[in-house]
Amino acid sequence: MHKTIQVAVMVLTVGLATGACSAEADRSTAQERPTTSATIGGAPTQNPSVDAAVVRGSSEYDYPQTRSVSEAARKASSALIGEVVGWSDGQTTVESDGAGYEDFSYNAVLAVKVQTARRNTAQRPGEIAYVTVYRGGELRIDGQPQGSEPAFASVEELSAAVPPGTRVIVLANPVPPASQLQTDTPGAAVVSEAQGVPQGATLIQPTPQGLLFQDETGGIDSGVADGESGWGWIPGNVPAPNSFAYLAAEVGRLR
Amino acid sequence: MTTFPPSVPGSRPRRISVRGLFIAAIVSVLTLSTLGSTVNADTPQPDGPPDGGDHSWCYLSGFSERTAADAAMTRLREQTDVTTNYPGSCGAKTDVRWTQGDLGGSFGRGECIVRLNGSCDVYRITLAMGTINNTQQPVNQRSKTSCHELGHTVGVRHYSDNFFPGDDTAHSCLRSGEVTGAWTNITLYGNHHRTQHINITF
Repeated sequence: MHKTIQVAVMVLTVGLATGACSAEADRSTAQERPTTSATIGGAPTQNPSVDAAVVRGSSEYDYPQTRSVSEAARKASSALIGEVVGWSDGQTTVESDGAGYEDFSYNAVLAVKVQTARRNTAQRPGEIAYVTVYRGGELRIDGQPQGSEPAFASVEELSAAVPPGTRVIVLANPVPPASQLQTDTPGAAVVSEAQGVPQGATLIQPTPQGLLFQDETGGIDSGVADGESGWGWIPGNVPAPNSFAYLAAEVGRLR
Repeated sequence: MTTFPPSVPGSRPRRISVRGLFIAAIVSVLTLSTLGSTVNADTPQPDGPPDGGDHSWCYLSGFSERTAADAAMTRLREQTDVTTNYPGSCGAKTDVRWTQGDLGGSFGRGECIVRLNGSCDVYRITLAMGTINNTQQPVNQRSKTSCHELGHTVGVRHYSDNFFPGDDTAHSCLRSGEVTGAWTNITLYGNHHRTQHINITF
């Protein structure tokens, strides 16, 4: 009996060590984000390193969840697959109390070169789609930012986190007209308009589950709502490195 | 390279009994599954923990849902160890600033807008009333989303479907999604969140 317990403790120790190593490996992978190759559809590709947590920032949403990318796409007027071209400053709005307190909301514009366009989209393959992406807020008092560090991502940080060349799926609707701002947020005002958007181009806004980047492993990394691994969009028999390719194929089959 | 079991000079090779292997396997599986659920259940808040102390709240100038916000603050105070405080207007250290706006299809958003030395000093909650009012149960949706987003400001994270946090088996307002007639506990915080997170911080 004594030996039995000794052996059990020994195996348990190995089990714990294995678990600890696995957890450590996961953290290491998440932190270092190395660029690796992955095989998508039989062809080896080099995917840029991606960290969409920078894009999501501290924002956490309550949103209507969909069971598949097809269902999510049906709630959008644009379903696009493309490649990130770059980031620029988006619209900034402010709510002021008139006594020195100002709540800022910052957006960025993500330029995407469209490869596949579905739904009733205004975008066409080969064109650039302009996607507004929320990048965080800030409180200023008498013009001074508060706190010890910024609570929103800079354009440079976004560019480093999701660099040009990253493949992306965008499910989006047109940004509401400027006149809608006062209805949605009475008291808010536009401080600066989006940069880098050509005159006449349509600015679109992703749905909560509608901004999915292909990460360096071939998996997906969401830029708005978090927890994409729990959405149930990827069948269990699809290997994680094929997740993005699987969803892209599903979007490609849409009418 | 390591050997198993490790060889020690002078010692007899240890025999592993079937019974021993059986017990060890069960213990290992239980241990690993416990580790796994711990990792999956509660990921850290993306903006660090809240700063503790009184949880004060205020409204930005255009916010029209004060009744819902007040009710959410009251429920938080009644269900947890959190003490709440309404200062009358927004100040530099007011913990939760309520506003409303378009969120591209989401019902609500909780976010940190002032970070201070690794924790979040000031949060902002945005209710998307246009989207909420288009749901099947707008009043319940507003209550649930208010409770949900306020939960983020006291250090808990949301979950989907039946992926309950911790050992909970009942739903709470931290469940993400559109409220339907089948939803329960839409203004309640779950036991795991209350005892393992909120009450520890406050």
